[in-house]
Amino acid sequence: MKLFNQLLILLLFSYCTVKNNQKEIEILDNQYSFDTITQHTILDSIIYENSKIPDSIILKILWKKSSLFKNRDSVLKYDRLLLKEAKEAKNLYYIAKGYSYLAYDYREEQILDSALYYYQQAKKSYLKLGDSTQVGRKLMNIGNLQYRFNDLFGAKESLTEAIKYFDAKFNEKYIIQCWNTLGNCYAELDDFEKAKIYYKNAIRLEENIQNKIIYSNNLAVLNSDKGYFDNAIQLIDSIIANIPDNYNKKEYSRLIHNKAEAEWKQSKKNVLPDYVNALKIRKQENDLWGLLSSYQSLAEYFEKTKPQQAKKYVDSLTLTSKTIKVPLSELNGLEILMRLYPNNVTYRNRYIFLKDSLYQQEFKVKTQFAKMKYDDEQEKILLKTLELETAQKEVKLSQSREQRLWLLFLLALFILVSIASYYFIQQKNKKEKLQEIYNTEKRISQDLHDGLANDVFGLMTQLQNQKSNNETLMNNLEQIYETTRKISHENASISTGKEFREELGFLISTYQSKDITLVIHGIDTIPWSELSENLCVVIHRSIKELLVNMKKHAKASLASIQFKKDRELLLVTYTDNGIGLDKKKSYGIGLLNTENRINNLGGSFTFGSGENGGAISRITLPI
Amino acid sequence: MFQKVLVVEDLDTVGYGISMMLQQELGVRGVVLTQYCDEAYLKFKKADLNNHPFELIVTDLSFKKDYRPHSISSGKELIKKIRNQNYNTPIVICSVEEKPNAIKRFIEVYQVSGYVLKGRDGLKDLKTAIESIFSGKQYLSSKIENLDTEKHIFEIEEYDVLLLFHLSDGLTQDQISELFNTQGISPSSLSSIEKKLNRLKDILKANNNVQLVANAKDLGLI
Repeated sequence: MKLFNQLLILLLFSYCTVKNNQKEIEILDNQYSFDTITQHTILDSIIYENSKIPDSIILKILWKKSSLFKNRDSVLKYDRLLLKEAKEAKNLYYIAKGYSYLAYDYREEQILDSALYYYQQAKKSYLKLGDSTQVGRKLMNIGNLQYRFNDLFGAKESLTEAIKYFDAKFNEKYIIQCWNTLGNCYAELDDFEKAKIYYKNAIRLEENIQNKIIYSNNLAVLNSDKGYFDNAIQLIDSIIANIPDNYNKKEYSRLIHNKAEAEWKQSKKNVLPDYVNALKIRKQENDLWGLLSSYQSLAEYFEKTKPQQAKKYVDSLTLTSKTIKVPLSELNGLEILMRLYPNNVTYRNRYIFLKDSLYQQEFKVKTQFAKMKYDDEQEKILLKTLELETAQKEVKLSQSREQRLWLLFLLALFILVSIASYYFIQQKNKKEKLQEIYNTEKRISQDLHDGLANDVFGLMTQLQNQKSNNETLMNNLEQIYETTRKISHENASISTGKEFREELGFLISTYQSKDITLVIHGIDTIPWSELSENLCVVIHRSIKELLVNMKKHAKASLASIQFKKDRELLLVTYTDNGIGLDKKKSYGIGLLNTENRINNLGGSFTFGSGENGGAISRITLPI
Repeated sequence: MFQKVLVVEDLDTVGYGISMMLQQELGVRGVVLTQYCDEAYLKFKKADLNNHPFELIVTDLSFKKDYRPHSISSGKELIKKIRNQNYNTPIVICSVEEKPNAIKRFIEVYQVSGYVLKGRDGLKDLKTAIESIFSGKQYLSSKIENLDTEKHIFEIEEYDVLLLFHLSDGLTQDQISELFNTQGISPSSLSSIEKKLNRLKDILKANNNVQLVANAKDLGLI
C-alpha cells in the first residue's frame, strides 16, 4: 500500500510539472481518495512545483490543508494563513471563508470576543459577496453564541435578523433551527406562550425525525419548567410511543430523564430507576452534556433525604462541568452544596466568584454585540449618506444634462434664425440688385434716347432736307460718336485695387472745366489698394453721382472733395459754392441710390446746404 | 516701311479700312487681317516658326463675343500672351478706350509702341503712329497726349491748408514765413510762400488774399 502511494505521488509530481492549472484543480478535487498524509504531500507538492500558480489555487490548497488537520493549533495556523493570503490576493470568497473558519476555531476555544468578531467579519464579507444564505448562517452562529452565553435579547435579535436572510424554501432547515433557539431564548425569558409557538412551529415543519424529537423534548421541558407537568409527561409519552427502533440513545436517555424529572417535580414519586437508567445510557454514550443534567437532577433528588449521596453527585457535576467548560452547571452544583452546608464559606466564595465571572462573560458578550450593532448602524448610516450623495449627484447630472439640452436647443434655434435671416437678407439683396440693374437699364435707355436718338434724328432731318454738306454731316456724326463713347464710359467697369487711385483721379479730372474748378485734399492719405472692391465701387459711384449733380444743378464755380481716414472710418466731404440745395425738392433718384448703396455697407450719407450757401455732402464708410 | 503687319480687328469695315490704308498709303505688302484674337495668336506664332515673323501688330482692345469659342477674349490678353513669351514686336493699339490709367498701363507694363484713339481722325492718327514707330519713336493720339491726370486736378496739400489757416488768422506773409522758419516747416522763404499763395489764388479763383480765405472757407478747407 505504501509503495503504491509513493508511486502515485511520483506520478503526480510529473503530472504537476506540466503547468496546467486545469489538472491541478482536478487533483485538488479528487484528493479525498487518499489518506491524510498523502493528501498533505500532494498539496505541498503543487505549491513547490509551481511557482506561478494562480492565487485562487493557492487559497484552495490552504483551505484544504486546514480542513485536513485535527490538531487545533495547526488548523488555527492554516486558517490565519488562508485569511492573510486571501486578503493579499483580494479574493473575497476565501476572505469570507477564512473569517468563518477563524470564528469557528475561536468558538471552540471559548474565546468569545474573537469568535464574535470573526463571525461579524465573515457576515460582512458574505454581504459583499451577495451570499444571503451564508449571511444568515453567520448571524445564526452569532445568535447561538449569544444564547449560550446568556445574552438572550441579543440572541433574539440576531436570530430574527438571520431568518430574514434565509430563503423560506431552500433554507427551511436553518429557519427551523433559528425557531428552536428562539424558543429556548423565550423559555429562559419566562415567556411561555412565545416559546411554545416557536417550538411548535419548529416541530411542525421539521422533517428530520431526530430533530423533531429534540424540539418536542424542548417543548416538554418548557412545560415541565413552567409547572405544566401533565402536558410534559403526556408529550414525552407520546414521543416515546412513536420513537423509531434505532433511535439515538443520547436523545432517548434525555427523554427518559426529562419525563422522570417532570414526574418527580409533580409528585415527588420515586423516579430513581429512571434517573439511574438515563445516567447509565449517558455514561455508555459518553454524553457529557447529558451527564451534567443527570448529576444535577440526582443531587437534587437526594438533597433532602441523603445529603452524602447528593454531595457525591454534586462533585461529579463539578468535575464534568470543568471538563467541558460549563461553569453554569458548577454554579448549580454549588447552589445545592450551599443549601446542604449553609455555613461553608469556601462554597459561598466559589459561588460568588463563579457568578461574577459568568456575569462578566455575559457582559462581555453583550458589550461585544452592542459594539457590533453600533458598527452596523454606523455603516448603514454611512451607506445611506453615500446613497443620498449619489442621488444628489445624479440629480445634478440630470440637471446639467437638461441645461445642456436647453443650450443645444437655443443653439439650434440660433442657427435656424441665422439661416432664415441670412436667406432673407440675400433675397433682399437680390431684390435690390435687380432693382439697381433695372434702374441702370432705365438710365442707359434714357441716356440713349436723350443723347443719341435725338442727335441721330436731327441728322436724319438734315439729310432729308439735303441742306448740309459733307463737312457738317461729318461733324454731327462725330458728335454722335463722342456721345456714344461717353455713355459707354459712364457704364464701364471700374478698376479697383492698385489702379483705383488713378481711376478716381481720372473721374474727378473729367469734371474739371473752364466753369468749375475742382480741388481735392487728402486723397493720398487713404490706403486705397487695401479697400475692398465693393467699397471702391460704391465710393466711385457716389463721387460720380455728386459730380453729376454738381454739373447739372449746383451752378458752382468752385468745388472741393476732401478725403480723410479716421481710425476705421473713411470720410469723404464734398463742398461747393453753388446755389445749394433747393429745400422744396427731395433727392433725385441718383442720390437716393447713392444713399442706399452707402447704407448697405453700414455707412452714412448726408446732402444739404452749407452755412455760407452752396452744397455740402458727407459720406462716412467703415473700412 | 514694315513689310509684314498683322491687323486684329473684329469690325470688318474698320479692319478693311486699316488694311487698305496700310497697303495703299504705306505700301505694306504683307498685311494679314483677322477678326479673332485666338486666330491672331496662331498666325503670329506660325509666322515666327516659319522664320518670317510679323514686324508690327495693330490691334483693337475689345472684341464682341460671337458663336465661336475662344481662349483669348480681349486685346489685352493677346498682348499679355505675346509679351510673356518675350516677343518685342512693336504693337499699336487702336481703341475707343481713353482712360488714361489704362493707357498708361499698356505703355508701362506691355511696352506698347503706339496708342490711337478711334475717332474721326483715327485712320490719320494710325498712319502717323506707324510712321513714327517705324522711325523708332513712340506715338500717342493727340487727344491723350497728356496722360498725367494729376495736372487736371488741383490738389490742396497739407502745407497749403496750413498756409490758408495762418492767413485767415490775420498773419502777414512775413509773419507766416517767420513762423514756418521757427517751426521747421519748409519751404519757409517769403518768395516760396508768395508763389504758393499765387497758385492757390489761381486755383480758387481769388483776386486777393481776403477772397482766397473766403473761398477756402466756403469749400471747408479751413
